[in-house]
Amino acid sequence: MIIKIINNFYHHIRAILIGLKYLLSPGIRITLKYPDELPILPENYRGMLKLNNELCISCGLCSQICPAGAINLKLFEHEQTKQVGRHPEVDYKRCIFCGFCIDICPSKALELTRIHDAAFYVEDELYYEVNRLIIGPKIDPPCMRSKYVISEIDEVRGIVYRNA
Amino acid sequence: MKTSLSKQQDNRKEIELFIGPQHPASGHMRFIGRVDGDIFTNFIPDPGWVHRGIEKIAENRKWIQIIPLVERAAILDAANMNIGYVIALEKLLDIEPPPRAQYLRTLLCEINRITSHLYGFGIAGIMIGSSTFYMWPFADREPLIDIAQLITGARLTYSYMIPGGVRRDLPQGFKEKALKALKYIERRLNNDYFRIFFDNPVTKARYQEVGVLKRDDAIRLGIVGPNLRASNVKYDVRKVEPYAAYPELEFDIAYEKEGDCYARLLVRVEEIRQSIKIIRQILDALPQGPIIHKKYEKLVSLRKLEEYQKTGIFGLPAIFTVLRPPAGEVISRVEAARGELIFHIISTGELRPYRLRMVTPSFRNIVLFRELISGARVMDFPAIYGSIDYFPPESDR
Ligand code: SF4
Ligand code: SF4
Repeated sequence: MIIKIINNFYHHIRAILIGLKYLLSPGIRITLKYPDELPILPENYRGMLKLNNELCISCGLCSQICPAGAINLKLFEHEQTKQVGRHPEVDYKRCIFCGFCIDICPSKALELTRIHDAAFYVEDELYYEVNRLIIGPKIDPPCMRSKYVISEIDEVRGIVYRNA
Repeated sequence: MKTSLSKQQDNRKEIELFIGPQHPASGHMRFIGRVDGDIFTNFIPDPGWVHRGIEKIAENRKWIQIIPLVERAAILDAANMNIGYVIALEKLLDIEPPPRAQYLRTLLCEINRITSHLYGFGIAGIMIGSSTFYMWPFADREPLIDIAQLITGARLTYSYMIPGGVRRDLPQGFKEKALKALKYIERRLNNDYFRIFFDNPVTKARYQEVGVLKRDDAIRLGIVGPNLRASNVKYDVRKVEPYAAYPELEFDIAYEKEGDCYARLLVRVEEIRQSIKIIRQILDALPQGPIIHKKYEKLVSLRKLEEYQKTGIFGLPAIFTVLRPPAGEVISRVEAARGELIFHIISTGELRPYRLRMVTPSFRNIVLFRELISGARVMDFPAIYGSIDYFPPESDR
């Protein structure tokens, strides 16, 4: 009985001490202070899409594979080059960022951007017509002080964020 | 003579207690209990609040489009949901992925198993009031999610496995990063988690000898996964019917004898250790070679083939849009993080499956609520729920 009480007391103290250790030791934060800190995502991150209309051969495979039915093909004439073709339009209300369209595109006309956190003022803006898809998504840094960071895996602290 | 309403209630011995449906713990779920004093005399789980009809939607999707769909059953266990479906599809198509692809699949599945168990710990922690142990495992998922993101390009919804192989090869410098993450998680698990939670007398008081599931009952009810193994049944699909690279890897089945809430927690701890062991073996013994079946490698365009040889990102061949597996019926079994996952697919040789049946582990464990909580105290409900690691979206599908 006595042994049990002592044992319990010991383990209570240990739990409190380890909690205090992490409470008081500086710099063990694993949370990213988004949007003050914006992560630079890895090269192959599956974000929003960008279209190169000169490479697109209008095959329609992207719209056929899309699991969410987010892609429609639309007849499009480029303003400067006057190139005509059926090119994809993406509805980001439906897109699930699976990257199937990019992977199946035989001519590499669709490419990944690492942007996933664009915000829109109007619902209709979520529908990317061909000309906007050619430009690709753009985001402004959400606040003036936000800076870019690189996340690195660390043995001691899990993840550390370094200024880019 | 009229009696007032409150008087009527006073005379009633039992009252009905509704828990949920607004997210009582790990998802939307309702429980209807009858309480006599402090004891549940009857307890009925009432699932279905996050039913999305995945099985029905699948009948309207092309074979390849079902890959992201089945992942949505359990978003934090996406890789294991994915491999179950892909194995079934490969059985229909009669193809076998190359060894490197098998290893990469196993690697992602094990990373996912760890993150899923950590999620379960967090939920278990907050349910018995330890908000520290809610934050820690959730934060510690982050390094592992990061390395999974390096492989697949997404944080949770990987859609990584395709029939015949996987979509991408490992990026440069992956091994060092993965080993660092494993070392971190190992230290946290073995030192910090035990001190703050598993060895904490408060946890033991709430968990030990609570919600005991006897061995015979566990077998009779058809319980799966860590909950079954905590009742002293050594059953793991990875051993019973090995798939992917598991036959070549060395690991033990984690099990406990007691069958109480605490045992269920300890089984998960041991499973994380085994997963770490498996990932280390994979990183050491990853075979060289292609990541996709020869048949499909020939079918992509030249430009894509160049990219594949240079960066390891394999494009999907165009044939996937018109994939028509031969008519037939297949069953695949895999061990997902919460237990055995079964896919039963009937194909009639069309563009879409005729029927897809998905039996998820949470669906089979739901009976535990009735079994364990009837007769338990009201305050034991959070402890038992947390220890079962039940995930409503997975069960409702
Ligand atoms: S990323 Fe996936 S969901 Fe989005 S448009 Fe491409 S195929 Fe469709
Ligand atoms: S973007 Fe690619 S897949 Fe889509 S129509 Fe153009 S070439 Fe074909």
